Amino acid sequence: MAAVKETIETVQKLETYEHGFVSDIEMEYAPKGLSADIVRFISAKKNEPEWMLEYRLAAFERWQSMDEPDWAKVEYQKVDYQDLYYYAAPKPKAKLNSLDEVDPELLAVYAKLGIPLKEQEVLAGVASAPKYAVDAVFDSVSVVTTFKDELKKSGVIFCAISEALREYPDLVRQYLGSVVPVSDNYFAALNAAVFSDGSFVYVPPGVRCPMELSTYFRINAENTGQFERTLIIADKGAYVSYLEGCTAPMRDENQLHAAVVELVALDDAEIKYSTVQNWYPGDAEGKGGIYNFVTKRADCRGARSKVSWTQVETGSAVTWKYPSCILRGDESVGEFYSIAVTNGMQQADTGTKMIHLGKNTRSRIISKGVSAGKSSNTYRGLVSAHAKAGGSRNFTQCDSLLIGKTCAAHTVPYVESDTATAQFEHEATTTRLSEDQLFYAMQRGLSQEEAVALLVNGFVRDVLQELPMEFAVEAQKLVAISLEGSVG
Amino acid sequence: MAFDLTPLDLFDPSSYPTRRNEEWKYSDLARVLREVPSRAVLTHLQAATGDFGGFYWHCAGDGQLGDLQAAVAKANGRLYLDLSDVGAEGVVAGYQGEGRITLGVGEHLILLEDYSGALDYAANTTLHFELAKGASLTRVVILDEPEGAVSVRRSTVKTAPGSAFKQYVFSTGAKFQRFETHVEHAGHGAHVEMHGAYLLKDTAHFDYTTRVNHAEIDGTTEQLIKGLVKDRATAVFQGRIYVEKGADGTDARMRHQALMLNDGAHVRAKPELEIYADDVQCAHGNTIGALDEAALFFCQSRGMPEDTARAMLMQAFVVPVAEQIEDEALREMVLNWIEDKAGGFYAL
Repeated sequence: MAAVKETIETVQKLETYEHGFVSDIEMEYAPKGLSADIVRFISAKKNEPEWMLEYRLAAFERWQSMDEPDWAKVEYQKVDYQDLYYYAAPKPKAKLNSLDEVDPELLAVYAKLGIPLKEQEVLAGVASAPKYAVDAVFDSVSVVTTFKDELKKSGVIFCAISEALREYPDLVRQYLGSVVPVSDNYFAALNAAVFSDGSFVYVPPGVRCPMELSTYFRINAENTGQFERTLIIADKGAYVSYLEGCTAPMRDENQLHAAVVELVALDDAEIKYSTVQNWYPGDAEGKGGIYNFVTKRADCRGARSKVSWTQVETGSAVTWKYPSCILRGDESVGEFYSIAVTNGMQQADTGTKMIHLGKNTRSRIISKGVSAGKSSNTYRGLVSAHAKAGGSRNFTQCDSLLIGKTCAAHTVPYVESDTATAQFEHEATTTRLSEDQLFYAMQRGLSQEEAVALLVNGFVRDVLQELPMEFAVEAQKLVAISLEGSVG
Repeated sequence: MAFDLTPLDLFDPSSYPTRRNEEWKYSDLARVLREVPSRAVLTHLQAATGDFGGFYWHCAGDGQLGDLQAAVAKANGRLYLDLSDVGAEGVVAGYQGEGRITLGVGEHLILLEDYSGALDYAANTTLHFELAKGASLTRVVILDEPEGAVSVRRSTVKTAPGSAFKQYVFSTGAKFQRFETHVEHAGHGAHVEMHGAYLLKDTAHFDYTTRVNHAEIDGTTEQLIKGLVKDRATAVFQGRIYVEKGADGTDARMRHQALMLNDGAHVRAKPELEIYADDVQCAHGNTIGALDEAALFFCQSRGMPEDTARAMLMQAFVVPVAEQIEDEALREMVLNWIEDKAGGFYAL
């Protein structure tokens, strides 16, 4: 019961969105609007090589000829792309030599969010506490990356992507856009044109990354779109676990977040990618909140490679997100574990694609959707087997839980098979919170809110178990907080 | 809620749905119809009536499906609707028509629909059913169309409280074959079943699309679709269960299972749930796979030759759909039909 009690206490403590504060930090903006000049401005700001500028401009041209997708089960007021700032960065005070010189106000933001940016803070904890390195992205730029040196000793490159473009241009050029091409979709093209920062990870052959890597995304500035780009490459036999967290201030206007994440796993490599998405979801009337239009895709390029996506989606006003795996290498494995919780007026259309191309490839999808309030929660997924993907297997389970009379839950799976030896299984259920279980829990002395938290945590347990330890606890709290006020 | 049927007129190419239409994503009618060499406005339906093994036989004519309601009145609860088309050598006939059947309070009808024929044709037929309180309609559909046929068979069903609608569709596919059923579920004890089985080979294409809209409380829906695909054939199953706000007590289940007998065959499944009410039980399942090697091994270890074992296991896979038909004569007829069709099918 300790966990339940803790959850309840957290719920009480956090009457509203905890991370909704705005920090007053001196910012530098690009002029409002989007044009080829803005693209050039961003590229110049980052001292990018010439080929990168060309890449961006080509993407921008492509984007102009594309239409915003409208097939998802979400309704929102269209974004005015000319009314956004595409670049907003905290004004650099001076050239930084070490972490100690980072703007203390910025550090304060992260301290408030509970993100350890000073290495000693991490170390100061319990001796056995696992270490994790953080890349902190504030609006359009990466402000700090911790443990860089220690990681470098084992050959792991972990830095902001703008830095990687300068320091390791060949590596970036080789892989950037190779998983999510510029023309992939509307938001991916937009991102390719204007992305400002994000993380770059390269794990050399045979190296097991000595600590968890993580990026913390924070939107702060008003009328700003955040377009981050993350590229992770696990070379042959490498292993890396990467965590991602996100928050934004409470505002009445909707803000756009259009990220692209590309993962490449070569032979025998493994990437574990976990997300706890807690962007501001808007208020109870659906005012404000983040539009989260994200393209995430992994390419299991090598034989026996493995990519595992785990996501806890509790924030954002509108979510449009399908972390996918292209299982190209023989015997490669793709996994997708997802908890999507929607409350209030939130809308989520999320799921995955498992594209089986290689022989004996395997994939597993566990998706748990919880909808409450007036929200709408859609699972949309594709599992496909190419004619050459003999012996491939998939297991999909997507369960939806409805709390209340005004919410909606949808399941839209696509299953396509072109090979006789593929074995695909798909199960989906939609039910409401069991009255019997609720009654039982309350009859044992739990309040209604406690009982709901307990049952919902039980419902999503299969996925929580896949999260790294520190995240699991946080995620459990988040799930309870997101559902606050949904019963009664 | 009005039925959402894609407008389609065989004689107006601009109405042909393309794959860009999400509802037709897996069945490219526009492409297939473009390949049809000519679309003469011809009908080869021969009007006829009579007795057919205990059924009242109604055969449509003149491009229209005839007065189905009058046929129902004469049928005494058992109607054989013959929509076989004979086609004609050297020309591709096109025909389309609509028919309407209304069942009054407490009326029962067993309807056997036969869509077969020879040579090539393009057909587009729509049947509208309306059931009053306590009425029941059992619909057994045999889609035994020629290889070169392009056919779109659609139906709409309106149920009433306490009514029952049961549909069993058996198909061997065609060049293009789409069977679409749209049901407005009245709830309040109304019960809907939409089953199907398919045996597809060569380049046959069969698309079974079902849409059920639960608008009221306490409605039940059950679906079991099973099929075999071999050679380069394509099976498509698109099912959608839609539960409106307030349709509490809905219990809906959908299951699709396909066996693929060789590489190069295609199965596309899209079983959807769209739910706006919370006190419901909804589930769908979808499996695609090969014949169970363990079962095959077991049969062989009991002395059964491999071919026989395969044939038996395949038959055992699809037969359960037919076995649910309550009417004995009809069930036997369908089982015989499956056995007949399956003869050439099992041999690999």
